[in-house]
Amino acid sequence: MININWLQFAGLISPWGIPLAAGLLILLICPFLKNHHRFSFGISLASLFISLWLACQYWMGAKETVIGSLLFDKISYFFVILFLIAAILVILLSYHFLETFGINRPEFYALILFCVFGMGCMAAGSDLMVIFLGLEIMSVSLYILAGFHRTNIFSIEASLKYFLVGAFASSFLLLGIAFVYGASGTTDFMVLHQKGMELAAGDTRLYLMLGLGLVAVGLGFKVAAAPFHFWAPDVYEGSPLVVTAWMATAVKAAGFAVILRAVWALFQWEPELFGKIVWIAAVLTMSVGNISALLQRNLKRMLAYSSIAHAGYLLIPLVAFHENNSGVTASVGFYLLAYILMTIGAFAVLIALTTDKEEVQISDLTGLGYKKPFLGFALTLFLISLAGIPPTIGFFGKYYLFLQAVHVGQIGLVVIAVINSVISVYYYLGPVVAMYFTKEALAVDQKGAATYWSPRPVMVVIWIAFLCVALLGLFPSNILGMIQQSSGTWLVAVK
Amino acid sequence: MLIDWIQNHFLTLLVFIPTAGALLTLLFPKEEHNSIRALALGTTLVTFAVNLWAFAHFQVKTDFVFQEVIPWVPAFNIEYRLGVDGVSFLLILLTNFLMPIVILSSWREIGTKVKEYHFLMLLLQTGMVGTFASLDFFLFYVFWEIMLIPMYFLIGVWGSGRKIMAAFKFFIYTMAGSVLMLIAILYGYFKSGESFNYVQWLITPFTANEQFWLFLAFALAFAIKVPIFPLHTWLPDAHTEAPTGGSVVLAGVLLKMGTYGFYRFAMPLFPEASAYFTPYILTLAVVGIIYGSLVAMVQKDIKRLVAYSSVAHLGFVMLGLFALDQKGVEGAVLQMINHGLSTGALFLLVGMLYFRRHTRQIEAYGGIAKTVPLYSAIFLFVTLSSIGLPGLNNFVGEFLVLVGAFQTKPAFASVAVLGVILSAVYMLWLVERVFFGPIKHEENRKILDLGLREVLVLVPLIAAMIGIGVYPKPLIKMMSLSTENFVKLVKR
Repeated sequence: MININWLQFAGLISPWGIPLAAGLLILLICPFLKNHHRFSFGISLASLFISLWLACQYWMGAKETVIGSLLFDKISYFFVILFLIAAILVILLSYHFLETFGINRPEFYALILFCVFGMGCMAAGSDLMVIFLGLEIMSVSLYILAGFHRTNIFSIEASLKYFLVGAFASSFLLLGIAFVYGASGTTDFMVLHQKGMELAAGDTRLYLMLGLGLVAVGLGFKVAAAPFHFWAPDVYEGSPLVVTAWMATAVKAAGFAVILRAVWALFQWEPELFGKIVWIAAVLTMSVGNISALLQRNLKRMLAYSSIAHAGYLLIPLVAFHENNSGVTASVGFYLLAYILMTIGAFAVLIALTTDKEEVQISDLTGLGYKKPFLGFALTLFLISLAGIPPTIGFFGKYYLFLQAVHVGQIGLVVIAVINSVISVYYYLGPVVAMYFTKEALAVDQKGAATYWSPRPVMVVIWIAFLCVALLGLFPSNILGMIQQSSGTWLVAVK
Repeated sequence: MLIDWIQNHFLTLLVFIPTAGALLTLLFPKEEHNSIRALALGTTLVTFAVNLWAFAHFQVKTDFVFQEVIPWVPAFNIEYRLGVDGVSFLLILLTNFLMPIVILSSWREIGTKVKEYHFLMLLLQTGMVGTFASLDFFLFYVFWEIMLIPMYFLIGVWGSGRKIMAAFKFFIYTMAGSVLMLIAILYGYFKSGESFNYVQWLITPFTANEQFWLFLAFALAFAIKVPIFPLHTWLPDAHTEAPTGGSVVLAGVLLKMGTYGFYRFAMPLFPEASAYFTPYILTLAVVGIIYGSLVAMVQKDIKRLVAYSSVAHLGFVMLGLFALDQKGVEGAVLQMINHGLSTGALFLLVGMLYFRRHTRQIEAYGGIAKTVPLYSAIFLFVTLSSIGLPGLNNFVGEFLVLVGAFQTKPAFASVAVLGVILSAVYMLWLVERVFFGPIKHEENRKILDLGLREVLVLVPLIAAMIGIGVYPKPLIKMMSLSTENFVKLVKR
């Protein structure tokens, strides 16, 4: 029997426990409030900021504590910080957006906060079952969020599609976990990490392999890695913009948090086989994402395919995991931070343009660079960063990812990745053409341009993302140091 | 105090004064066109003045001058490491000499989005100077890529005709070349003991096989930029559709990034591989000379003709570099500068004509020497410079290149000589068709001759052409130690 110091536990889990409590509070109180939107917005933000502050505190002072099946180390807290940043930005984007469409229900905020809790459990879980539970908490909230725009038939379609595919993926994952348990008698990461080698050599090998394969498929679905990516474009397109922004960023980060843990625990014992699988998955994912994105005229769909492509880039360093796990973790962490900032920034610009309907066709951006110079400039910067062109944070992130693979001699993989980057330039610069180059854009009369008003919280998000993308690209040193420091804890956790 | 500081940070100033100017333009209201132009002109003139100041302090030596080293991302040993030798300093000088001319030349031509234009131009200047001054591979790559975006916008917004296609082609071609260079840089980083320092790489022993691949990756990036036949297809589109200022910068400076890349990186770092590839590259260079000249001959568009002539001229530069004779290399560097002056001037002249008549078709003109005598005289002068008339700049460069090449690669040199003749053919034929003969089109009787501003734009270029043609010694003296060192490094 394990003795749990509940007080310590409550303290350690608070960075994602507080959002859960806040979500419950919102559900509890809001039915009795007239001005519930303002209240739920305020409560969510307050809880997230407090959590962020706490998470930073724990992050700086974290001493690899394991309580039950949760692992409170720097890596966990780093990912929680990522989720919290994304959540804060998304909630800032949501207020006016929800009002515009008349879907300003308090449940929205509660569901986002539940998501954060689920993600926290995913990042910190050291047991397959805990991770599965966290994943389900997150996923179920997402199914509802995808269909949050109830009067929009596409939103409902997205929700249903996501639910069906998601449930399917979850069952794969669960079956995989069952096989792993059957082969090893445990679902605990620490034990699996240590016993993996002997299990793989024994007669349980077949079951273990089957289990791992199924787990990989389940996780592949969740991060939309090819060939399990087909749901993503439809779901991203149908969901309300803010939900798409949330799914494209934090959910992906959570998926990769789990992937890193799972790779460490489960896929260490046969690095060559694992390397090959990752190689294939990465190449497929980024190529499919980039090539499909070429044809899109709808920005939501384009960003959906681009997020698939970015999942592919993020898989690249995993080939080096068994040699340099802390470097790989740091590079994935840094890239996720970069990806969250630039993607939310791009979505924020689209949200800023939303008046009575979502303006997400490339043609809707015509002349934006002259009508709204800052929005156009910011969107250009985010797109350039997504394409990985210096001096943006996206370039530095990509450099870091590729560095890992080059270090272990995977030049071929990196060559394919950079060719993909070149392809991606084509579609990332498409909106730039619409904003600045076309005849229609140049004909936009600067003085007579519509002076539509962008809500202040949205502008705040754009400014934050803009400054981070530009400045962290030029001066990545400090943040890089912190991330590298927090990713050096893998070996300590084993003891 | 301040003077000391400036003298210790010449390169930083040269790189970032334009950035500061670019940021300043953002503070101006859109409508203040003339203030913005004046600000940009002032910025470029200040940069040029600082550059001249640095010129006065330049010491000719084998090592790099004006070095500045500041750790940038210590976790990866990325440094802000600047430094120049004679060659890169001359190229920076060329850049900063051309920029005020470019700004002044677009005073009337650019009437819309003036603020954005000058913002991008100044940003571009930072990228160009930074590329020539970087001695850290990461920094170099960042500057190298930074140049892409302003140029992409310059072509896309202010260009003409099929500008969007041209802008994309320019961007994708250059990017495709440079990403492979990034991989080579990452590989070399580990090979050299986790260092991006150029000097560190020079003493890193690369095996023959490594050299082969690394040279290929670097050379591809640079060959696209030069451009070496058959990778040149982006050039005619980009040069033709870009606004005049953009074309001048493209031809004057951006193409030299490629040849400079060979000079600084691809050849001295990987000597064995460059020896192995020399015959192939020389073949392509000579093919480029002949092909560029022949294609230029049949162009109907004046600007396109000038653009193709660049392919031929840059072929000479490559010939000089790979001839690996000190004279030849000096000629090549001189040709980089000469091509910037002469072709830059040609693009300016074409732009001025286009501004008046809104067409660049050769057949739309004819006999305009009578209506615009001053313009015609200057055009003829620049043409003579471009085809290498003795006493003018190109003659010196081409002569040195051929002298060098005849000593080490006589076969290639003898074919290249044809290029000199061909260049005379296509340029003089152009002059004949545009300026002489009867006036066929009535509109051509009313073209205005050059104004004061336009003369001011052209005079410095003409002065430089004569100066280099008559007395090239100071330039050669400045680079002689660097080129000597270069030949030594490549032959090791």
